[in-house]
Amino acid sequence: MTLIILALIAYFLFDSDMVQKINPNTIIQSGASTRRPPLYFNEKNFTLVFGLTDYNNNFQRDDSIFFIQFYIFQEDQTNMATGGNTTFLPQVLCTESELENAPNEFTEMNLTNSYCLPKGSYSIRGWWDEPEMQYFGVNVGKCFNSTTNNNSCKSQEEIDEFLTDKWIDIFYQNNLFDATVAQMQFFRRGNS
Amino acid sequence: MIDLSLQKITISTSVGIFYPQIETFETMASATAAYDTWTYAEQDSMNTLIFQLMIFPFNEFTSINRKYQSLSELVAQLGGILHILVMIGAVIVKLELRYKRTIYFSEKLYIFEQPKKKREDGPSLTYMTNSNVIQLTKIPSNSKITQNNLNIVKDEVIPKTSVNKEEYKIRMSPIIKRKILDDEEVDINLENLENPLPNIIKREESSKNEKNLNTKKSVIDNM
Repeated sequence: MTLIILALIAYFLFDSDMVQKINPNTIIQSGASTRRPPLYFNEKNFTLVFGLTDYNNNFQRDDSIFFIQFYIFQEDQTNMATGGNTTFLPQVLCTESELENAPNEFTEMNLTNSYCLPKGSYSIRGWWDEPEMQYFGVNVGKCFNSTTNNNSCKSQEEIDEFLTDKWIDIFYQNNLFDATVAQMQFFRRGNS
Repeated sequence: MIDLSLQKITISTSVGIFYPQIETFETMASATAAYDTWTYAEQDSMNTLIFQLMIFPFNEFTSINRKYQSLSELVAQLGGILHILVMIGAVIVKLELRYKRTIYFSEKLYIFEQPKKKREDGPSLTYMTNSNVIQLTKIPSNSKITQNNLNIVKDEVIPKTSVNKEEYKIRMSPIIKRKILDDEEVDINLENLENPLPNIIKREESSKNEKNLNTKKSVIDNM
């Protein structure tokens, strides 16, 4: 009798869901809040690649023709009258080391001359109709002469001709969740 | 212009082995993407912007709670099954113990006659073997120990509770010690009853008179 009990215990132990990490009780709840909750991200948990590409998906980089700006816009009750604050972030060209989550994507997707999310921790919250708002933005614009670029922009005709057959390529990280996989919290998937 | 909304996703997973220990992980996923042909460039004083991407949080959120079986839950489930097994086992053991107890007391209270082992030559000196049971044989008071009549041992099965030391003179055990003549002792091993009687006969022949025999018998009776 003792052996039978021990055998049953061993069977249940080694064949249990606990050991095999299967059949979890999964509860998925969705809700909505009146105000958009803050969301924090950085270069480790969120990948953002931005750039201009030609017809063959090759990223182009020419500061004399166009510029790309990463910035944080923040607006609340104190600075709403002045139109909020915009903090520009430094430009960071993508390399393998910049893509910490998946460095192999740099070669696979041919991300040379593309721009990556600058390193740092960022938070976004709120909306236009809320008392406080903060969002992350990326601007693409034509080059314009200024002292910062030593008036090095090309002529307007050359810029327009260059931009006529170019595409704006955005690659950002999306996370999908599979409850049946115990070890992996989410699947990283790129959207463009 | 593109407005990209990211949705907050909270994943809670029980990672504990003995007890559910919740590990929370926050991530995000794209919720909505709104495209608009209106560009800020039209409002730009420099008229330079050609594209704008804005990333906002989404007001909807998703919470995923994932709970795996823990050891405490597994033991609790096993406990229910084992409890039934123990109950079945208890019934079986109880019946077995009842049967064994009956056999045990039966052997203690009564002595059941076993097949007798007889000597091949000479007068029969029988004994009974029963495990751990004392067997007493009665020597009749008028028995005579002679060469031709040595059937002095009479088997008798008696209840253990009625043992009377005065009435039963010889106590048989794996080794029987008997006084036959005067102060001499004769050891008879029941387990090796090859030929215990010739010694007795020799001693009887050395003292043939009737008086001595009565004396011997009285000695035996006084044992």
